[in-house]
Amino acid sequence: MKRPAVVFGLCIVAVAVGAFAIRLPRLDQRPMHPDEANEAARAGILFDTGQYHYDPKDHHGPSLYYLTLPSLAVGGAARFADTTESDYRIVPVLFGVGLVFLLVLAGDGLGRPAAVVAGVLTAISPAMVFYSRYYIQETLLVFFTLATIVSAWRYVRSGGTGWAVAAGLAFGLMAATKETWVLAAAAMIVAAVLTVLWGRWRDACLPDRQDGPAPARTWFGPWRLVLAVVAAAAVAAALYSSFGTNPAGLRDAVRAYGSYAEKAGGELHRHPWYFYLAMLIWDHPARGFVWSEGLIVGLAVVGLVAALMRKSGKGSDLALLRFLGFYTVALTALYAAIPYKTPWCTLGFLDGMILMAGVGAVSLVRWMPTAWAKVAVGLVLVALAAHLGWESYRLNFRLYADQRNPYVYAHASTDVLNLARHMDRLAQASPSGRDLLVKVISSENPWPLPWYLRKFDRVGWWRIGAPDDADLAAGWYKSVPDDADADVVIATTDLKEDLDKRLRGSYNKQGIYGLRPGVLLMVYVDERLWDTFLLQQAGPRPAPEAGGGLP
Amino acid sequence: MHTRPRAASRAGDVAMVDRSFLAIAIVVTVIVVGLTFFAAVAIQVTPQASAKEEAAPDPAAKNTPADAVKADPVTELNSQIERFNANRSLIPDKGISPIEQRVSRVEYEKEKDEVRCYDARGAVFLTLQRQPDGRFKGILQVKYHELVNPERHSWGTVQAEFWLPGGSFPKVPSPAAAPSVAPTPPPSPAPGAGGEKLVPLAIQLPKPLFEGTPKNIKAAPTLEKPSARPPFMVPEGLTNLALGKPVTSSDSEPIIGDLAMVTDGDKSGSDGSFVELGPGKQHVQIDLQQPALIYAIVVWHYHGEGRVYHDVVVQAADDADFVQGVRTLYNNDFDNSSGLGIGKELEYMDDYRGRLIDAKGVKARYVRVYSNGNTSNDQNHYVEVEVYGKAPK
Repeated sequence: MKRPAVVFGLCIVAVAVGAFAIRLPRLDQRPMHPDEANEAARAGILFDTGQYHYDPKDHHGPSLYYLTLPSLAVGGAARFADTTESDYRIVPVLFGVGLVFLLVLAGDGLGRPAAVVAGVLTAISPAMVFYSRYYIQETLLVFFTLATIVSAWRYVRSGGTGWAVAAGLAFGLMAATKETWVLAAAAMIVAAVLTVLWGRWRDACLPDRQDGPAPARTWFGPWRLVLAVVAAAAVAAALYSSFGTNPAGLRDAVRAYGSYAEKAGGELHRHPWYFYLAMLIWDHPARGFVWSEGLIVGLAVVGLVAALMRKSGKGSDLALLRFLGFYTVALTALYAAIPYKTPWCTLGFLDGMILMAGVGAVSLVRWMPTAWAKVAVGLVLVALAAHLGWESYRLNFRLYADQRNPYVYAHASTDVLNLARHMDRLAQASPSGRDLLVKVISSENPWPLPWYLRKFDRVGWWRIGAPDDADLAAGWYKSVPDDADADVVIATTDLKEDLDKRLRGSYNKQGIYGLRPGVLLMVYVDERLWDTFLLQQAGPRPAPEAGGGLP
Repeated sequence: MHTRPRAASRAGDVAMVDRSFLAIAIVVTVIVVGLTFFAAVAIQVTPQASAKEEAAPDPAAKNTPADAVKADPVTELNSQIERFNANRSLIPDKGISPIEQRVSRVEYEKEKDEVRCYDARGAVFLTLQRQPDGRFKGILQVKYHELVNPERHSWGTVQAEFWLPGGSFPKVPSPAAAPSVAPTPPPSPAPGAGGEKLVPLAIQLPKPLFEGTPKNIKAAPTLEKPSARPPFMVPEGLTNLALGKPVTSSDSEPIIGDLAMVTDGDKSGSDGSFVELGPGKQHVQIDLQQPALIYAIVVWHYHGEGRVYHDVVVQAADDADFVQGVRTLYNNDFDNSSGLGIGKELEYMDDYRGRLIDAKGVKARYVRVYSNGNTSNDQNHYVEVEVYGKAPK
């Protein structure tokens, strides 16, 4: 028994190394999503000032920011302005790889072969890879959720105090990561109840069989459960209160559910119930492009059937498999029922699907009557997994910011990188360097532009519009400011007429850049600065093979 | 017979594996929580420790030394920087970044009667100017982050003042100001009406507001109807010489579509009617198969949504390699990012009418259209290119 355990451990380590290798390259290639930039700015404030106050209206829990501090410290940046995309995105990368490592703890529950298959699918799933390279809370939430489930399961099996505390800590971190933890917790409760009921109904009419070890007799020790609750509460309270420096954070952590409940039923990001399933099973955004993680969904269904019908084979814990199956179905249904949908929310139940897909793949092979049939099914699965890997490559390294990528949502255009480069070159041309005066006047959400202008010291932001929520109206402006002149004025194109009326200086107005599809920014540059810039950019006349240049 | 021992062995294994996993889990948890706690506590302890020091002047205000300098100017200024860094936490709710530079040498500029401070890399980072009382004063803009409330924060700069006594450097009468010949002089402050020195007005700029996930805008037809294009006058008898003519490109393997779509007469812009070339600078090239007098070229990129294609450059030439008789007919590469020269044309939003380019009757056989990504993505799309002309007499 020892040797298979070692081999299993080595397999998981190998898969985890592979997952890391897939997630790590070109972390700074994709432009920052507006949400990523928001999160990075918040982590930057914590890094620069040591201050963090939980925001009950947006931006989710505190764990992401605190867990980013070690990365920023290791990255060597002295302040927020010096940090890079990679400093932030490495955090979800590590937790995405951690999802594979957690399978070590579930090997004797899922069955070791199933756990390895689940690890491989976690490593290559396009959605898993995409959002593991995305500086938002989702990957951390999924990691802490799985850690909670696995720790709790091991506690139930062993009755060990350590596992109770581990489950409590993971649960506390889960609660301190994103408010949607309540959906995962609700799905866990539903799954636990259904697992017990199903076992009593289904297994009572079948011959007795050993399907994994029985729960430890001592698992329901009250003081151990109290310890778990205390651990969870302590971790969550420490983070929400900013380690005691902001006690109001505890109150806000409760108040937050009011605003999130309101947001869940709002018009923004409202999508039909099948939004997630359609995205995973068959996404056909344009001619020539079809994406599918149907392999995972299909195998998860097989795994669920195998668990419910006691066909999953030996070496697994039927109760855990059924729990995971019911949990996945319940969580999928909950997310489908909520009108507010963003693609990254799929990660929670996709992880459950992946675990069940591991069980499904192994069950399919086992069900084959002959060795040749097993080999044939195995080869088909390998081929389908290879296709999944190819999709993952295309979506993560080729079409990483393309609207035809189903996981690209409200994303910044790659053109924002051109704008950032343009600003850097203007700063080089300006005698003021990065101290040149920049005014950004936008009728649209300007993020992630603040991220790309973080190194500029004199940037003013005018957000034009009138939010419905009066609490949010502070800091907004009704129109273009009278004194709009600056070295560089960046404005959304719909404000052109108003802006042109108010500007007193002379500007070069040739630059237009895309912030997001459908949101364009005009870049006006003071003519004196522009002349200097042109002198720097002109260089020698182009060579004939380049096309001849100006007539 | 063997069931019992195997079960016992399995139970033993499970217990052993459990213990191992438990130990690993505890160690990992302790490390993660410990690191997080350490990082969180460490970053918050610093200001508190500083606050215990003796009450000090507002670090954002004056850092005035006694008039008699006890040390040389470099040491004096560095001690003032250290003092500012130590006291910066005394401004409540403002997280002021420490000043990282230190003065490695100072130079006295006689003409301007000012002291320039150089950092270790040899760059001037602080300039002190003579004040009416004879002392020298310099100001550094130091960054801060401030949490206004849990929903909002701001960032900006505070001013840190540094002083040297007047006796540090002799006052030399300034010669008559010579006219500046610097190519891009920063506007030097002229004296005010009362003769007082003028300084830039410090204006507090508004900070960016945090916002949630923006609306996901899907590609949609451009809703705005462009104004009517005035008639473009050309000689009679022109035809679209590009229709059905061979097309080559800098990207021989388009992402979607094929190059023949550029001259197939389909200008609808829907799926299946455009060719998509790879990221960055790309071009399509049309061989008219014989020299022609070209009067107008019309280019359609992708007009299914409001987009601007960058660095649109249109050229005509006598040979396929664009070496002989190359003429640039249109260029809106305003910053020469494509390296084809600086263009004076404005960028434009693609729409169903295409971009009409006046070719002025040039005689050429080949037409090349460049682009360099667009405002939505890095790719280059071509729905159609029409070349209106006629055979030379």
